[in-house]
Amino acid sequence: MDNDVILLVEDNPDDVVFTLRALQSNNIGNRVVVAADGEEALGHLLPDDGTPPLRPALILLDVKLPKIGGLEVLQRIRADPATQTVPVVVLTTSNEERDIVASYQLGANSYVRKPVVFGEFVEAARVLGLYWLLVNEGPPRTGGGA
Amino acid sequence: MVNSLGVEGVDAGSTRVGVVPAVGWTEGPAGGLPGPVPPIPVSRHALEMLRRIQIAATVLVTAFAGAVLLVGWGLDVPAARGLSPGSVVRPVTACCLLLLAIALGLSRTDRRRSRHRVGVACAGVAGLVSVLALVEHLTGTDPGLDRLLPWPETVTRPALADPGRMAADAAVGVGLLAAAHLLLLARARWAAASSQLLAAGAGLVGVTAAYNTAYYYAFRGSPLEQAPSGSALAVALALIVLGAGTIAVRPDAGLVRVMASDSVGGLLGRRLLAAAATVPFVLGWLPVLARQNGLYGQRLGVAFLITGNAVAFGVVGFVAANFATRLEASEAHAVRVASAGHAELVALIDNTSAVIYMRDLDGRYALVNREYERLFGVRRENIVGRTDHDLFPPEIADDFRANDLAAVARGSPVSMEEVAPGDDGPHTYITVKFPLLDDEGRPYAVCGISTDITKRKRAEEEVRRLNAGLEERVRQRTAELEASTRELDAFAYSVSHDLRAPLRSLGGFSQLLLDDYGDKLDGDGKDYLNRLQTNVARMGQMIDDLLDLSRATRVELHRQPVDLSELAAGIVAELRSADPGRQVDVTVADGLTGSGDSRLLRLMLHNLLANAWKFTGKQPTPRIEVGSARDGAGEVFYVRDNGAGFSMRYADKLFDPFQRLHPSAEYEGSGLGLAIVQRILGRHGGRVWADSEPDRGATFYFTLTAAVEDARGQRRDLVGRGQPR
Repeated sequence: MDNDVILLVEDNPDDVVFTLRALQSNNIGNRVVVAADGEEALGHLLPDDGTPPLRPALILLDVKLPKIGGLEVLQRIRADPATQTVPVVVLTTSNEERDIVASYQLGANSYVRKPVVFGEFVEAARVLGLYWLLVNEGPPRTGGGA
Repeated sequence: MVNSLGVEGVDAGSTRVGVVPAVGWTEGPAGGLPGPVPPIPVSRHALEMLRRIQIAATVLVTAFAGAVLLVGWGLDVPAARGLSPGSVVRPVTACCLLLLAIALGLSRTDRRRSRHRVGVACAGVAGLVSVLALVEHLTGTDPGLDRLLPWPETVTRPALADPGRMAADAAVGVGLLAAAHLLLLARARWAAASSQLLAAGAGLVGVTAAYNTAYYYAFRGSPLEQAPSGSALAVALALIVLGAGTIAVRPDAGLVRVMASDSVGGLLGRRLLAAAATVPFVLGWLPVLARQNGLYGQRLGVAFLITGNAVAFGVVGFVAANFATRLEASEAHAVRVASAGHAELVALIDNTSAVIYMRDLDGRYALVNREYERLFGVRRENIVGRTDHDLFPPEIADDFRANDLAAVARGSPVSMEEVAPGDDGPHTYITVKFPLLDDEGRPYAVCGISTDITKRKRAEEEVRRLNAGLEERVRQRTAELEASTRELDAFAYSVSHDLRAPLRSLGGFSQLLLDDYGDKLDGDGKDYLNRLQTNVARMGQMIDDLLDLSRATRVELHRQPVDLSELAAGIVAELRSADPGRQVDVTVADGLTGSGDSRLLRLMLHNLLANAWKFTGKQPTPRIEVGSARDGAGEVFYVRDNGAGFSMRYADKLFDPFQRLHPSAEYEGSGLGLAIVQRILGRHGGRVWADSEPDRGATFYFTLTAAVEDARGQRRDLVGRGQPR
């Protein structure tokens, strides 16, 4: 079941380590699928090679990604009926206004800036997981793939 | 000059003597401007006199002839038939005189055709009668003209030897006068002169007859003298009077015009005429008197007469010569004066930088000045009589001509811009053109004064060109600036992402080291890792501050009303929640409002308040005050604290990036906060300055508009670096 899956779209392996560690530190045991760029993320969500699509409970999306950028990934997710209701938290280094504005315009559910200090990072991961996976009542699942 | 000669009757202003030709300096074929010599007007004095003569002649002769006819013959009163009992005016003669007097009275004074016709008829009848009378004399017949008259023959016939016949000389005089009157009708130039000559002839007939009669009376009783066979003295006098009156009818034409003209010639002529009319008679009378009194005989009388005439002519000649000589001297003086003035005028127009020229109404040059010669490479002798079409391309010449005609049509000076070819391309002129008017106010030429404004025009053109170039350069620079701003933007964006990522790795892994391997490290190892963490945090803050500084410079400014009190209160609340352990007494005045970009102003206020918060950290009773003071031209806001303060000696470094007045160990900070504050206020057109003393707190003042800044120039000295960027 991928009901509890978290899709982490992140190209920086260090940040992948920190994110997994932070989730783990907060006892968030959900399976985490990592995509290293936008293309890979879309391959999971909207595959065009017949493989079953991934339907995660939460997508943590970096903005600056190789090949296909985070904002475009977001746009494609929201454009497809199958993925348009999946909660997306933009998790990025940038606090540029334009990135924030663009993210929300494209349908991001949340925008979180990665703190430099690791303690703060762990705290952010805790709050995020708590909120989106436990507190928040997500959209009803429309079945989906396997 | 006329008055100095004592000449009266000539209007000083209208004297034509010594008038210099208006265009004497052109010396060319068109030097004849302004046209033919105008006729000299008739002297008003003479005109009036002639009019009076005409009226007096009409009245006198009418009255006299009427009296003779009505009283002398009609009522049969012999005493009223002449001026003396022996001198009888016949009815026919009286009728003719009356007709001529009527004709005289009706001529000229009234232009109505009916009256004119009556006058012509009167003169015609008189002339007819005179011809018949002459025929009578020549043939000895008696047509009995007097029988046609209403007076009883019983009265007229017995009173006279030859009752019906007019005296021969009277007939000649009447005939001449009648002819003179009829000639007045003709329009030809010679007619007036002929008429005047005939009238003068009639007058002379009268004079002769009068003198003849006078001699008879002078020598009455002498055996030498016989009674004159000619007309009565009264008739002779009437002929003189009528002759004078007839001559006076046309003062503006013929011989009279010369004599009556308002000129020196007319004046001299009138005086000589007066002399001619009196001197011979007086001289002729003297021998008569002498003979009457037996002083000398006829021979000596004739000798005296000749001598007297010679003397009289001599005197008249001398007077005339003297008059003419003085006149000529005076004239020469006037010419000198006038030509001096003329030379001055020529010098004036030749030494101006303006182009001056005069053309007649057909566009032919009459004069040009030296500047014109220089500019267009012509000599004034050669240009006179030519037109612009001989000198310039047709379209330019057409323009000039049109402007000339416009000035003529308007009758007053007209100002316009004209373009004429020059050595270095077309030259532009400011031209004033005005018509020259003759005595009757009719234009006869056009004067133009053109000033070359090419340099000014070209300078204006150059300024325009430079301005255009400048604008182009500004556009280029703006584009470059925009490009570099975009680069800066990209750089900041990149810094935001890329610089923070490795930093996060440093901080993250050092934390993981502490978490996972902390038990394998001793105290120093943990301390090093903690220091690493601290510096990662500081560097993160610095990067954020740098991004703020960059953002304060490049984001677009959205001005709107901003409640600074509310902003400040919100920031203070944030500061309190981030640092709950501190008790700070913060006062924010109500109603602090301004106009600006709310986000940037928030960043600015945040930095000021965070500073105040930070630097009151060691103060036992920390106080922060936000307020404003209305001073002169506008509102000055301030953030005041009672914290560490600083020495004003370093005030000029306060707002420079990365400048710190306190050791970082004491007060943390990137050194960018005040730089951000200054940049934000500068972008709003406002300023920031500070006032402080070490350990006595600091006050940061700021304004949001330029107006306040200008009003307090002295503050600039206080904080010289407070220039808005």
